Amino acid sequence: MIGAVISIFLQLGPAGPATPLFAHDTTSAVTDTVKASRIIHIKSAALPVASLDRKTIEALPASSVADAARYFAGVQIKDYGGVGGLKTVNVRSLGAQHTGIYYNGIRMDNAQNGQVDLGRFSLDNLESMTLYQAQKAELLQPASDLASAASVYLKTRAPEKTGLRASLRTGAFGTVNPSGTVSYVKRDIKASVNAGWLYSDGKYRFTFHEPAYDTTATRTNGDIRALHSELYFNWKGLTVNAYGYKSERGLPGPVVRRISDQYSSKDRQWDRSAFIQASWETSFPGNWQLRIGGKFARDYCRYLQDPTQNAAVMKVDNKYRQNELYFYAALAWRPSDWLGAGFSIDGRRNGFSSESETLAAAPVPWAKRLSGLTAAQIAVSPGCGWHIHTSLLSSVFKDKTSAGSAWKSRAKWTPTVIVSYEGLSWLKLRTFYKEIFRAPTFNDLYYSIGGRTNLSPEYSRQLDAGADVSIGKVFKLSADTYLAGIINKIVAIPAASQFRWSVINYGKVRAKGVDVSAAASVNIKEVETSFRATWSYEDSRDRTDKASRWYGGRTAYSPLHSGSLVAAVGYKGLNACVSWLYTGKRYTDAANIPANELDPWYTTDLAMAWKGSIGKRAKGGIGVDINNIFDQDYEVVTRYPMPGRHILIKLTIEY
Amino acid sequence: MKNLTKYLLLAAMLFSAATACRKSHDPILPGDDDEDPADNTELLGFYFVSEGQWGHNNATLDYYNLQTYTMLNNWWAEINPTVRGSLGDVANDIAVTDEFVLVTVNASNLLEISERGGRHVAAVEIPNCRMIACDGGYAYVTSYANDGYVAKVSLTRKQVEKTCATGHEPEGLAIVDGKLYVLNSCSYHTDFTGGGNNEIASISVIDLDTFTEVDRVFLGIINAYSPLTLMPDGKSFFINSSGDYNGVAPCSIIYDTRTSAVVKTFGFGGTYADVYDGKLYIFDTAFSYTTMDWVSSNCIYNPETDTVSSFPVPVSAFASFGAPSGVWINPKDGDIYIADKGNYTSPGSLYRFGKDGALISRIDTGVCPGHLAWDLR
Repeated sequence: MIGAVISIFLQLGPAGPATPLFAHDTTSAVTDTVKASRIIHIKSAALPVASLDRKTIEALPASSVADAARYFAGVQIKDYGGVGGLKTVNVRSLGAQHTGIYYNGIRMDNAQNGQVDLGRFSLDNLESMTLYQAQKAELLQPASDLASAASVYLKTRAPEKTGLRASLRTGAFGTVNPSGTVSYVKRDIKASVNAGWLYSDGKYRFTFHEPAYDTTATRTNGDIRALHSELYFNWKGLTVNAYGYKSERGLPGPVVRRISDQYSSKDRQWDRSAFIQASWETSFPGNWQLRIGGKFARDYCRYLQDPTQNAAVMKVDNKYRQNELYFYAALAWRPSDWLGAGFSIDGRRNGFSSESETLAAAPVPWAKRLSGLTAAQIAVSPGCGWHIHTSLLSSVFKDKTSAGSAWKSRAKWTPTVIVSYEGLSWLKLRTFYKEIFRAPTFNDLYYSIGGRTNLSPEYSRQLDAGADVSIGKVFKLSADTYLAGIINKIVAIPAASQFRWSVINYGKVRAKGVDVSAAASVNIKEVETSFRATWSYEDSRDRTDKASRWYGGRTAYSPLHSGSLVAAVGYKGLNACVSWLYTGKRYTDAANIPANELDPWYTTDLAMAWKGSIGKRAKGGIGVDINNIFDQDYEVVTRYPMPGRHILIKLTIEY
Repeated sequence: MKNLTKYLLLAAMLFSAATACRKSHDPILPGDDDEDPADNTELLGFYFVSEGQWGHNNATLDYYNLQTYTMLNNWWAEINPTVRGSLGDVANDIAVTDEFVLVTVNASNLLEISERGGRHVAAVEIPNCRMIACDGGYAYVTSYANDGYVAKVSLTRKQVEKTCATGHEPEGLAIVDGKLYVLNSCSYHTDFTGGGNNEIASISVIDLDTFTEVDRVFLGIINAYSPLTLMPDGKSFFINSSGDYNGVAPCSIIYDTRTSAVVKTFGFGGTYADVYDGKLYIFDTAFSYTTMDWVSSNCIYNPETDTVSSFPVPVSAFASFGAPSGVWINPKDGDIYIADKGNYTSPGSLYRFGKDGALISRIDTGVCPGHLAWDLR
């Protein structure tokens, strides 16, 4: 456990074989059980990678997956506040729809709006979270893994022994969050079931500061209740995951001028989500490796705006259903140390249907999408520490809708080239170029009245150059500089009236930036200390219309500077960790005027925990998280205030 | 005794001098020192409302000085720095009385009442409030809430005195001959799937004394998302109908209150309209993303001769616009002001054209510029 405390802070930079961390490669769902003759994972994986593993996650003062993701350089979490608020990941200001989220190796998609709400995942059951810029440089991966400008891999805990684990988190906002896991391990079989319940009343005081006055109020209608469960099963090369989620939450809405609370938002949302996925990996003589898998998912969401609860709103009652069926097959061949190839093919079918009792709505009742992705990869290691990895992804889409007209796209070819130099033990250099797009979602194409079906995908391009410096196990520094751009940005603009929106390709963004991460650890006898720092500089500009007054303004919600500092100390069973997160001034719009300024914010969080043995076989722990110690008032999204100081206590027991 | 009188007189003089000084530090409208009661013949400028972006709480009320041709952006906010929440979220209409300037702030669910000079007086809570008409110490405000109604607000007591139920989604309203006419747009009861299940728009005729609906006249149009633009005869209204964006095309009509009937129908929509020099200026120009071209039916209608002539500003002048969002004609000199919403999230512009249609200048506005009231004294 003590050794692990050191390792958590050193999982920065590429998980290549030069570092001792490669054995803990957290990027593949089935690494643990692969006993192949030659591991096909490319040895040069020299891409900007940042990882948080179990011990780090436990030590950090984070109570959700989105909280933990804030510690990655170059990542902004778009957070609408409160426990139940929507939280999406935005990497290098490219937007949440350009970040792929992978759950135990398989991509999570939302064909309706292209965003995955990180709030749905339990931190208790998370083994690791890894962020890759561009993609993994791995030969054996499904084509869908190449389909985003940045990727976040969530890996849930695999059972280590037969036993039971339970935890209870409680504290601020009336939070009650019990969670438990039962694991079974015998010979080649590993299985576990995890279930949790979350309740929070979402009430917190907040203050808006204006030059001439302060407004203090309490956030209401931000409650959430959610039931969540996950299942894991593994036998030799086969891994099966199942996931279920059911929630009801209130949507508090933006805080705007009002006379009374009579007409503040009483909107409600219900979600139900379930999926089952399986992967099987095996190897053949001649240095071949095969991985196949599939997933079936169903989602339901109901959004309600009820005039009988709030006379100021017009009736909105939308029910959305989605289902997804996905299969993939990936093959890799590594005949020698200097050459390797990979090929994969993915097929996905997304179905969507909507039912609404909403006035003046005309959404398309149903839509289907068939997607076919094929990828070819080649890795060459000419020697002297050089590695070149290229991939080419081909994507084809075909939609069908109840309205008749539907989006269709011819094959789009998007390449990636990665070159790295790892000749020195203490220095790694790398550069990559990647082109990828995100397809228009069902909302983009079919939700608006008179929607257009000839929308182009939103394309992104990235050019990155960086280096990793490491000094033994004590210090590590990772720095990258990049140029990125988006064209054909899909935007929805209201037309003549509030009913008719035009969704068009209209928008260009150009960004340049620097991401730096550093970690150090120092041990003095039995006391271990670890430090971690990130800093990002991001200059993202709107380059849509040269004739516009606002041409060249900084992109909405993109901070010029952001960063974090984490310091942790451990002694025997005690752990303390203090973290400081900073996000610089942002603008709510490309019009960078004072009225659109959002103040920079920083929060300081403290986590303290004790873990020890109870009796002969059991282990227990108690922890306290004090978040936003200095009670900072801040907003991530304009008019959505974030909570001030709040405390959560966690009790755990393991048997 | 004599000394006391002298001192009292001195005190009175000092007091009036002091208050007179205080008055002159008040806001920044021209002609504030005018002693004449309002006779509405001098045009000093105009109040201009930008709606703001929903959820951003950035509605603005600005003032444009027509003597110096300067725009005072954030005018109301700067006069009222201590009003919590500033003007509010999504402003929808503006009206002016002798004493007050009134603004409906829809997503803040309130009617803002301020002095003509800009200072905030009161805010009256009215859910989902839309448009305003004023008469005799009262403001009448339409609301989409509770299946549509109009609220009668006393401008002396600054509160809602009475309400009167109307049809669905009441928008524009106007007072003619002691009656209040309210346009029930039924915009949310339009069948945008093209299925034809549309509610027909109507006008509620409300007697001002009893404040009850005395008549409802159906107009034979749908989605009448429109103000009631008073025609030069002072008795008829020009009304826009936006159609269902499918088989039912936009159109516009003229409704005569004297005959309670539609007296004219145009085969094109009139999203924005204003009256000048006895003629109706109709403005309907939008960029179509299906044809990727501007579609325009701008014209001038002469009700006396029942003829249509061309709109002075050519469509080519809008090529650089994002989305035209209002037209107003200076009642004194005929200058044409046309607003451009741009991209709906960044501040827009107001363009000033001469009577002949030539561009004179561009004026900065807030986000989603859309409503104007002339400052006549």
